[in-house]
Amino acid sequence: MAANIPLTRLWRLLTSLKLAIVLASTATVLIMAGSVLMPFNPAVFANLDSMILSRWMQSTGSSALALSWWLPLAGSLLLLLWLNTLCCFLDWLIHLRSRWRKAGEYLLHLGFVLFLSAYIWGSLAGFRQEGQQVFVGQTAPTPRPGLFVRVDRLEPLYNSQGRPMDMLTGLTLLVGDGVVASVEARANHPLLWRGMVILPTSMGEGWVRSPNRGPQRLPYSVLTINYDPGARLAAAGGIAMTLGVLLALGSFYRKRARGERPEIS
Amino acid sequence: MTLMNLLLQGAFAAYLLAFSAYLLHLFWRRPFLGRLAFGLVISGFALQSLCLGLRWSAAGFLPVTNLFGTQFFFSWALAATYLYFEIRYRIQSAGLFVLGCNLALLLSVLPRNPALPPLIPALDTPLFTLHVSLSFFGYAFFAMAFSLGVLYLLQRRLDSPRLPDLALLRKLNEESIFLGFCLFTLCMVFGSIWAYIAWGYYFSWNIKAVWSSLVWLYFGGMCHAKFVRRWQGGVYAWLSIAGFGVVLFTYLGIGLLLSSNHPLG
Repeated sequence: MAANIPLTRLWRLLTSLKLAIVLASTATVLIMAGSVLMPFNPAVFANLDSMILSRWMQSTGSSALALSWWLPLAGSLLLLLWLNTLCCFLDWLIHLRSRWRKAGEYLLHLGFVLFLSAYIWGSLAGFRQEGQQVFVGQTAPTPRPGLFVRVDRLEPLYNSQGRPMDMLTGLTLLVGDGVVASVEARANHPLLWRGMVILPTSMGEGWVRSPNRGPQRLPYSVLTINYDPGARLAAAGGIAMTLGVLLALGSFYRKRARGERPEIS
Repeated sequence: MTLMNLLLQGAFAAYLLAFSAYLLHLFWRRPFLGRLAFGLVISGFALQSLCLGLRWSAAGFLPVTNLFGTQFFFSWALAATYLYFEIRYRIQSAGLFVLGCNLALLLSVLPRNPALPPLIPALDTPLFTLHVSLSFFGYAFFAMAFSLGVLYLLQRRLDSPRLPDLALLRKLNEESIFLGFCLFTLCMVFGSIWAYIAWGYYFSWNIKAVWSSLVWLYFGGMCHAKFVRRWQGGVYAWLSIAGFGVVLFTYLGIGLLLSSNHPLG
């Protein structure tokens, strides 16, 4: 019994509403202050989206700690908020029979937990690669061992004034010689496969030395190849949040129609 | 003068007259003034909706891709939010601030070039339409919460029969924050999906995306703060006021004071 008291206290602390408010507000203020440094220090922060966060911290971030110190601190606060939110969700599950009416609100909690878990996973185990040139008809390795990308065709799309607006890029993803995905990629229509996303970002022309035909001028596509193992978990988080919002709204209007104000306890 | 300009100026005139009528109603409490003002807001909203519909139909996409378009849409969302509260709770002059914001936005829109810009391929997706429209509806509810927060503090000091009572103001403030947070959550979900298919990651470190996440975190915290008894009412009103500051900086401050590579500046 006595051994349970510290555990009960710890559980109360971890599921505490006030802890959530303290963590969320401290993280908010810290990120507000830190983020203002970003536009004024492009040499440090401009490539944050070009690589996963752990790699950025190891390279650029760690060499500019005077400017980037707030990021690991904010990350730690958000991790604590993640733990607090997860415990609140588990506490709700334990008391589901009496609290099922709050399903919308707690699905939102679950969505946040899943989304943050996905981002942490992707930031540790994913990769981002920009600017990979692949000539039409050629196959190039991706940073993920055993996976290759082939550019099948390239067609610029022009507007009515003849200005290039977009490009249609035939992309094929291969595991060894076997095709696993194929798509006609354009803006907002990338190649997606198990957490991997391949986007053509620009195109050009260059010389290729072919063993049979000598040097040839061929078009090439510039590809961004990103992999995030947490992408599907993030999608699950997004679905949980959307369902949560819809249920919370339904519950809110039902309570208001009955003249209840149960949201104030 | 084009039909769209006429509609825009008609809407502005109707809102201006409604604002004046509500001001008169605040000091000279005649029911016909309240009815007149409400009718004028409805007329202004109808004209603005027609103008938005014509612009949408002419462009073939929701025209929110430049400052004119976003200010016009934000102003329309503010009017819709005002009407929601007016029809539901008869708040009348309690929404004067929101009508004032609406007028200020329209006034800054009037001298601008209303030409419809061409749609760049990255914005050519329903995810963009959902992301932007939900964000502005979220912002509009946060603006309403600001207005109600200011009125709450005024009423607590003045105890005036001309203003709604404290209990109603508190209830409406909480409803505003809750609805704004729900809509903003959906905005973030759709924005993340769009970012993933357009740029290959669902969370970006560009400063606008970071501050949008902070808006979400801040108002998520506020949805919890209403359960803290000591904070109900006064503190909550101050938090609503500060929250709108965060919203304003995210919408206008970043674009005007800092540089961002977010598609909407």
